[in-house]
Amino acid sequence: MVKAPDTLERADNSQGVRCRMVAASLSGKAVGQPVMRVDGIAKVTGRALYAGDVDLPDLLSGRCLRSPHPSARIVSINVGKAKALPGVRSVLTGADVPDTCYGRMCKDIPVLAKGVVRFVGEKVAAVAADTVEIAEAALELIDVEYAELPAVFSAEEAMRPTAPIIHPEAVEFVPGAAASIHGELSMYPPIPNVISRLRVRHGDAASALASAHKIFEHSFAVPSVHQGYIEPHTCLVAIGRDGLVDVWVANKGPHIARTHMAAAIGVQENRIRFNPVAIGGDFGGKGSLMDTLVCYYLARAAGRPVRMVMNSFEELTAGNPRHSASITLRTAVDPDARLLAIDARVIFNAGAYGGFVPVPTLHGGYGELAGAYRVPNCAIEVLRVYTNTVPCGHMRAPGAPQVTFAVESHIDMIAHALGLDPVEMRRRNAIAEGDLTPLGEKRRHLRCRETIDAGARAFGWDKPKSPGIGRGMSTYEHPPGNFGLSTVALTIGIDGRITLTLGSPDTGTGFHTIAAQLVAEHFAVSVDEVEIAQGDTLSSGFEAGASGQRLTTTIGQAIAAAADRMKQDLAALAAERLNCAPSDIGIGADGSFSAPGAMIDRRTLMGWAAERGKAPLTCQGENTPGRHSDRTSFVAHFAEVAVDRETGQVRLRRIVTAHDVGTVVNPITHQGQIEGGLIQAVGQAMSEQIVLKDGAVITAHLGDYKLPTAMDIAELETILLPGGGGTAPFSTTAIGEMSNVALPAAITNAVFDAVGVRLVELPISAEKVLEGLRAQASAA
Amino acid sequence: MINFQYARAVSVSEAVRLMAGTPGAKFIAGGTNLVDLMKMDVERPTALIDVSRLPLDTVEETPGGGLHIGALVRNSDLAYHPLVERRYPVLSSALLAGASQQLRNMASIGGNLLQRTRCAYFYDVATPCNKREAGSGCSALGGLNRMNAILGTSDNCIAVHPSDMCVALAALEAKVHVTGTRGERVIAFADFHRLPEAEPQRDNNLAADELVTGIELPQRGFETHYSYLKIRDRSSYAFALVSVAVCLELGGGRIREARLALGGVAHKPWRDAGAEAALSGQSANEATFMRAAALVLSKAKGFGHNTFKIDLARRAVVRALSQAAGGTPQSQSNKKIA
Ligand SMILES: Cc1cc2nc3c(=O)[nH]c(=O)nc-3n(C[C@H](O)[C@H](O)[C@H](O)COP(=O)(O)OP(=O)(O)OC[C@H]3O[C@@H](n4cnc5c(N)ncnc54)[C@H](O)[C@@H]3O)c2cc1C
Ligand code: SF4
Repeated sequence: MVKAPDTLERADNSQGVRCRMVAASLSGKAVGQPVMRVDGIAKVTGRALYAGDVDLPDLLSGRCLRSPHPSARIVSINVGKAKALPGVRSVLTGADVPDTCYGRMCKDIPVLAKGVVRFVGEKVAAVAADTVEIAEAALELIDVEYAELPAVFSAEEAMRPTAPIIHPEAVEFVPGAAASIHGELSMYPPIPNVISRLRVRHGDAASALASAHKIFEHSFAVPSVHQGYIEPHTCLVAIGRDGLVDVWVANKGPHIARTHMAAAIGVQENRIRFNPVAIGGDFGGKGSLMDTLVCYYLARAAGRPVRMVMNSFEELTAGNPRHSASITLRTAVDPDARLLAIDARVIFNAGAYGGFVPVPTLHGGYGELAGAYRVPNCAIEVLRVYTNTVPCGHMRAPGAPQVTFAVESHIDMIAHALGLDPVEMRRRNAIAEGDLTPLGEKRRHLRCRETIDAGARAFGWDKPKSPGIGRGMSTYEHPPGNFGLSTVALTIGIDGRITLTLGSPDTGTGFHTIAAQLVAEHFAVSVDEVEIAQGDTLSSGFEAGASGQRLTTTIGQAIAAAADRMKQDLAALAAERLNCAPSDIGIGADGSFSAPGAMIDRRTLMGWAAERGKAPLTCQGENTPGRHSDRTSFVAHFAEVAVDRETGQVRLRRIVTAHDVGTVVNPITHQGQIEGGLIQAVGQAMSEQIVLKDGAVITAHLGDYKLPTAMDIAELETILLPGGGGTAPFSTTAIGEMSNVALPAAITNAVFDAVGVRLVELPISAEKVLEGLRAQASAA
Repeated sequence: MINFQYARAVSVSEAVRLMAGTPGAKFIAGGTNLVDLMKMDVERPTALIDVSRLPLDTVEETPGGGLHIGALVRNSDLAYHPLVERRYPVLSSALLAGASQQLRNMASIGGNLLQRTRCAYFYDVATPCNKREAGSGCSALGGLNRMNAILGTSDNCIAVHPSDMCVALAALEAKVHVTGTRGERVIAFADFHRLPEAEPQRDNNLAADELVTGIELPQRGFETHYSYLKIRDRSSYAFALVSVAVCLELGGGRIREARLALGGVAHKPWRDAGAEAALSGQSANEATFMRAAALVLSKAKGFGHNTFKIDLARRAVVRALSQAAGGTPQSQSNKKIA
């Protein structure tokens, strides 16, 4: 339950008053308002068009045969019987598709397995048929003979000199994607199966560790989890008579996906059109082409459009889940418990292919590692390693939940070892104005301590508690993304209504609503006067897509640029109409135009312009891409648990989450991001895990893969610390990847507080708690 | 899923006749288990005989003072039935501990009795499984067996029966009414489900053509001293790691009669006569409970990932007995612990 007051309060920053804040200069008409989703009614009435809803004449269904082996040579494939089945329109194996491999950065994913399979679930053959049932029946008629090869499942084992090499041939990768990263990056270094090794250093961690008062070293393990979106990966490809390739796919970044597809199939970008569709949840998992390339080749072979929908079994066994990770941290402290140096080794298990990840390594694996703290010396090594398991991809704040679980447990362990209150430990080391981040970056508006204090106060950290009850906290820092190009077009119609055309789908976050609010705010109109048009990739300008908390910032800037131009064009029109110089035109709070002694509203002006062929008016806008914003944000989570010493069960009773925010564009979607992220984190902490045995996913059913249910969710109180300082144009900060990262450590820290059992591996389970209690008893 | 025939039966005799005349057919009631298994290709029936409209959806008092529950009564209707809530609260509690509200609204009593194991390998047709395909082997033995059995296992199968309701029915000593081509018969609950032994493909002792028509509860419901405790990974929509149904009759600080059944530990709801005998006549205190719990688990055997269940089950038995004796049964709506 959220305690959200309905009053707008001006806040005293340090008090963390629960409120919704907007910058004073705003009109109050759009930004800051709890506007209903612009796509809400279409979604709840079933009118929204998802990729799976698209229907075309002669549409076929495609299905894939997948490997039962984690590593094997394909000796032979016989598709004769499958081809002969009535209703089957095309059957493909690796031999029927080009050798080109696909990848968002590392191009290592074959369209269909070519001679070898590298994980259980790899696509070996594909069928397009009149119905899904016929396609599935055809799959059963395909005979594949395999010769099993040695396989390796753990990243640590895969790096040993004797390990089987999963990709013996050199893998091509996009060099540009590696350029932006800081630190010392080596792609495919001479360590078996390593995709990338990144070493980032600031200061001299080795010396600081060598001479430190005390050193702590702990290791942690975080398993792979699934993004858990409702809509499975879905795509539909139709090839027109003129050769135009039409694609409908659940993909968060259609422009980039189009570029990748063009390269993979050897068709020019302007001969491929990704059409706008609604997306049923992304959480980072829908950035790749997934089945789109197979679907294209099936459509080409059959001469008919083909649709492919993954089922939940395929999603859980062969989607692109979050990387599992093992993390070792060594930290030096001085006699006052101040952090002097952190040495971190992070190993991500990438699975059999690296191509689902658009960057050399997961940014969260190092970018905000210990970012909430002042750590003068820091050495981080991050490895991404191939294994014969399901290939991993991006998921909400890629890498950060794994690493933050480690850091925030580690800090807690150090605090307890030093006899220090965990809040005090964090306050003492909190990064503050003027400090550099552990990576040596300069950021502004550092309100870590204030955020912790506001949360601790609301939570009642110091209040007495009963036995069996535990309290824990965690914190995290992450700036909005300011990378990647965003282009938009604004059009004012002859009726004065404003249309924003953009290339980004709303992945479910409510972004189209935010975009409408930003537009409305620039023109001081209500959101009802703004329409959002998601263009296809031929008709909309380039958009890098949703990722890294960037859209509100980057599209916000593109909208601002377009709005500026539009206002100038409108002023010129108004000047012409009112017979004055454009510089004499004033724009009123209601969006009307005035000159000395005359005034005209936008609608009338556009009507007048239309009669002269000067309306509608369209203006483009784009952002100036950078990297991350230098204005970062902090979050502090507080969790209270009850632990049953007899049965090992842990119940999450209460969460307080405190967020350092800028302007909140829409309090409903903002709170939605906070709550959704927290629930995802509860899942990772308490029950979710992709369990593998000999490389095969065992939790292949939503009954076994345990997403949290409503009954598992605790009472929740959200504290917002408004304080501006955000990024242009309206001083916003980001919220999308703030709430889902650090909570698991707050919960396991609370379990430790309750019964003294330290869980260094997620998720929490009855047997881990009981095992901890048993070890405790035998030590005593 | 493969193609299949479909027929809706209008009477019990028609259902039985259709079943006997259609090799490879299956009855379907709520479909919450069967359709799932068909989608996963685990069950591949040639025909579905829909029994969901048969007039077996009533709860009636029997002349002997017990209850007769039709096989098509929905799980939620039974859980909230006033007579069940008042007189057989352990059954109501066990039902509410199972599945989710939506599933309970669809699921029938007969279907619940006959639901199949949730062993992950049983569901994954790419792996060997003796229960799915006799003689193919048991992947769980050397595999991930966290959810598997610790009691009454065989070398051929270590699956558990996943039902919560059945654990309470075992404790209550219910009877199962069935009708087949050779007529009606009544099966004692303890004889309904079976242990895997050499034939893990058989979950129970029902003949292929037999339809479950109802469940009979004896007069004794243990309305004061009972508990249904379920330990699981999340609060709803999760099968038991271990569950315990306890029914006690107390008098003068002593246990006059004890019923104890465990779920999530064996191929059938697990009752232990020895442990029950060890409880009766004793004073209702922790020492007694621990003795009984130790007896129940004395023959338990772990298989690696599920070995923790032995200790967990022991603790759960003690907890459930204390709850029952204290008149403080486990609540299913407010799962406060500690
Ligand atoms: C995600 C999920 C979670 C669940 N969690 C739990 C849980 O925690 N605890 C729990 O106890 N259960 C749980 N269940 C199982 C649920 O209780 C069963 O699916 C349900 O009781 C089956 O009833 P049904 O009527 O839908 O059976 P159906 O699916 O229709 O049939 C199941 C089987 O019973 C046979 N059958 C049905 N009726 C008769 C009859 N009258 N005579 C003879 N044979 C018959 C069918 O042929 C079939 O083999 C869960 C189910 C799901 C899907
Ligand atoms: S335990 Fe039983 S159900 Fe599971 S794999 Fe073995 S034989 Fe199959």
